[in-house]
Amino acid sequence: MLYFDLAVIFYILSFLLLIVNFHFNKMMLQALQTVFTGVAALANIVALMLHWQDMRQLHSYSIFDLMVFVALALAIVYLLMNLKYKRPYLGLFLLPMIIIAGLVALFAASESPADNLSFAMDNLWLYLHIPLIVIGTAFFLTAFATGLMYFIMEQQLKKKKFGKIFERFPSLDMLDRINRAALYIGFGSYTAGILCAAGWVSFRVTHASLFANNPDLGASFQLKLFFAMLVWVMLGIILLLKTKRGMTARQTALASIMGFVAVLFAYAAVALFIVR
Amino acid sequence: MQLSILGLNHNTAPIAVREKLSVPEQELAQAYKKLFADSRVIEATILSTCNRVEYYIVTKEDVDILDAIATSCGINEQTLREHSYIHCGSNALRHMVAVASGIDSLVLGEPQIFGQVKDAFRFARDHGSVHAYINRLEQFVLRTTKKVRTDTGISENAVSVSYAAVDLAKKIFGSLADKRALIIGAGEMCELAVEHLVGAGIGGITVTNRTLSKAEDLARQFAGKAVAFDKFADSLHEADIVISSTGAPVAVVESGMVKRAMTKRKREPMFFIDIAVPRDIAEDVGKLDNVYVYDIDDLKQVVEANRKEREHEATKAIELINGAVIRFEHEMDSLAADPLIVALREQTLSVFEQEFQKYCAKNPVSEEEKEKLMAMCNAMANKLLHAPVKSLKSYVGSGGSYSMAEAARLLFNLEK
Repeated sequence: MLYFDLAVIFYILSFLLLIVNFHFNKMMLQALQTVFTGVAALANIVALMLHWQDMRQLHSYSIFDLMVFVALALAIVYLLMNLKYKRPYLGLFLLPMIIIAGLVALFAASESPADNLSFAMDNLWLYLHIPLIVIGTAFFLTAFATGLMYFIMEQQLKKKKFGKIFERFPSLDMLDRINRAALYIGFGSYTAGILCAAGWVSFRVTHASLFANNPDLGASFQLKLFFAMLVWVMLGIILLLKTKRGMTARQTALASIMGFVAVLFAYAAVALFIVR
Repeated sequence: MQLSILGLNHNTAPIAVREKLSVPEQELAQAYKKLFADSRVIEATILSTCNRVEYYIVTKEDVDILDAIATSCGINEQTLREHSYIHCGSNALRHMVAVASGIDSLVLGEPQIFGQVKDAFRFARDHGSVHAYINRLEQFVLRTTKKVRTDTGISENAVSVSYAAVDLAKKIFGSLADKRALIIGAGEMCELAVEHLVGAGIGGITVTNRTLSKAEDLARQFAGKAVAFDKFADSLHEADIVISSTGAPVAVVESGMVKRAMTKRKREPMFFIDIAVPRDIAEDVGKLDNVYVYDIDDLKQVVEANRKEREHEATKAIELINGAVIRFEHEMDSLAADPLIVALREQTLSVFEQEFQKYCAKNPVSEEEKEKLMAMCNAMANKLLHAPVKSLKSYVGSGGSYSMAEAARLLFNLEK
């Protein structure tokens, strides 16, 4: 917990520094902000590993685990995207998401003790499924952020506002490139995650007796899988349209925002189900 | 050594006077020869650009460089006095960096002057008019100018209409390498815009004009293609960027035309720059999705905002230059101690060497012991010299007046 508290503090500091640098635009501040994000991500990794060690198995059933993982995946995607495209101001949208995930995790941890896990979850398919879906989600969130940035930047250009946003935000073309990359990688990761879930379902069918005492557990994963499949199919259609019909950058940005809403819907439903 | 600058620029002298003093590259040798005819001049560099002419002169002591330069240029001394400025010492150093950084330029922060200053130093070296002082000065000016450029935003953001148009295009398309521009009109403004687009690496240029031959001339100049004015609408969809500057009394690009082009190009973004008055692009074109239209007033607004930003950065640059000049002067002062330090070291080592030889002549000393004794002598010499060397470097340029006893205390770092 201590490490995760530290991670959240550094994520918040990194976000504050990014806002300050949005005004001043200094290389030194930028470098410091990247270091803060890196430190936060490291603390996040340590927190996750120590938690796994405490529980003596990888588990991803509680909201705490899920949100710690989402925060980490988003932070890593942000660092990677920044490394490749050198566009730190993506963080104006990604860091608040990371901070929200972190705060939700801390709140969830204090509200309820960590779940005792069913040994039925201790299966390779599930170990792969959850990280892949979370990483996929992190990329979709990135696509959502760039989609939002695209529309903001477009408005600046249309309304001829030459302020800080106009100066600092990437070009429309760059936003489209980041958006596309995030959508494709996210879709790939989601696809792999869903295939792993299918593997887990087949495991469940062949070991039905493991679930005999806990029918809710099986039902929850069926529902989760259903929503994940829904999002996957929808995003698959968007990417298919983009590839085959040649969607414009603007349409792709819009699709990314719709994709995010769908993911949010799926997670909200899953969270409600888990809370219940 | 005394550094003095005599110069005149766009603020101080009309072009007729600047012309008289300007020194084309092919006449530099002659100009340096005339300068060095005055025996007081030790080192010199001439910077001659379209907006300024400056002489950087190094002399042994204070001299009236106005008279030296007026004589060498064959210009009336009174005229030169009226239109020129003279800087000496720290002011001269500050001025040199301000010039090289573009702070003193007609267009604040313009980058070309840096290259011209570098060339001036190079030409001076080629003509043998540069020695130790200007060599160090050159390093200082270039180093500080680079720092000014990287640490401040003095050269960031476009301050001309054509540059602003290219910058805006980059905000939409990122790289222009795979983009095509259509130029409607073949006047001076269009030519300037094309120059900047080509400089920014545009993928291709198409030119159209009511007089086709003019369009062909401009297209040829930039390896582009020309289309007839009544046919340009058919190729509008190929253009990502459209720059228009015709004298037409009504709009030449209507929204229907752009809508058709957008359909053909699958709604990929289009950027229109309208630098004509009255405007060439119909007002409703800008309302179309993925279409961005900027007129001359919009571009001027960008330029004005950028200019203010550069002025703000110039204040930071001046602070940075002031700090650098103080450090450079200190560095130069401590260099003046170098010959003294060398002489002191040689004398001390020679005393040790003599005493060592005397000792070896009187006493049987093995080779191994000789080496050890020599190492000890060197160590003692270094220890003895440490305090005076440090004091010499610190106080050589201080210019204070001390009694012999005070000087000795300072030199050997002795307690009172």
